[in-house]
Amino acid sequence: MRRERYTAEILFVIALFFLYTIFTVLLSVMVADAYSRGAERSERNYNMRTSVLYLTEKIRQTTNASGEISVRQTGEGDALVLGMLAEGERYETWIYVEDGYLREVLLLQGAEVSPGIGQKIMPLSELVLELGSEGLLRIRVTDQTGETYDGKVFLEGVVRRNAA
Amino acid sequence: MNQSSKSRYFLVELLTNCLLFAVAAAICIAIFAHGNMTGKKSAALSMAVAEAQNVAESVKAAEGDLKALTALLDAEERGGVYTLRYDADWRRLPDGADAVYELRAVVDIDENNMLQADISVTDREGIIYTLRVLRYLGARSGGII
Repeated sequence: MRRERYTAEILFVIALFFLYTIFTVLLSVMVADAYSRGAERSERNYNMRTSVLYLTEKIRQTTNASGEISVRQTGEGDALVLGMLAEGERYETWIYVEDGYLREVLLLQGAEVSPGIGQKIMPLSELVLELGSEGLLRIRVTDQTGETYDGKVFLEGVVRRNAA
Repeated sequence: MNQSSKSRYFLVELLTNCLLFAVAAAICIAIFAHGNMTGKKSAALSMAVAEAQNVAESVKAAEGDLKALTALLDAEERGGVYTLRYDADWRRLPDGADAVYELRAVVDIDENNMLQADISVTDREGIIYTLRVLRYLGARSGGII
């Protein structure tokens, strides 16, 4: 009788221990999953918003400086070209996507964009720009996971061209 | 000390551990649930700001022409009110669809040629973000297109 009670106690302790272990593992998995989802959401949000905000701020800088804005083509797609005058010379800032990165390069007007010349800004797989006749620039970016994000900027008080 | 009392002490210790674990787990789950909700709200606010800004830029580009704004927003206008609907991933939905997020833009031009657009983004719980656009249409400017 005493021996049976002792065995039952031991079995109860072992069962409780297993229950404890299972709940510990379950909690760790749940917390890790919640954290990874939060981090992923935050990173996606950052990637999407940052690229469009970067382009928007560059456009606003050019708008304030009465520069010239145009949409042109590079080997891998659309490029935003921001023209400006400095010390009597005309320069152009090209912002475009190449080799999975949003890149930027400052060139003398008329110079060609050669592969790999641009400075890497952030990872991005596609940039699509569309300049409407009313002066609204539509920006569509696609990140590495294929998620797309749209932005719009009204180009006000600036020379804009739908150049090829 | 015999074997039975040893196992009894171990049982008490294990039960105490379980109790502490349950309390810690409850706190931990509550904190992560709160963090998850805050993260979702933050992402929704971020997207709401972006969508409201996009509509504001379209309002500026239309320069008071409601027909042009209808085309730019790809949404129907009812008495100067535009309603854009979105699903949980902020993809546009057609008119009348069951939406998770809704953007309303109320556009009005007064007798002094002042355009005012009140843009509000709501979810099922209430307003997430509001933005007001004021633009004097008498001072239109532009460039060479």
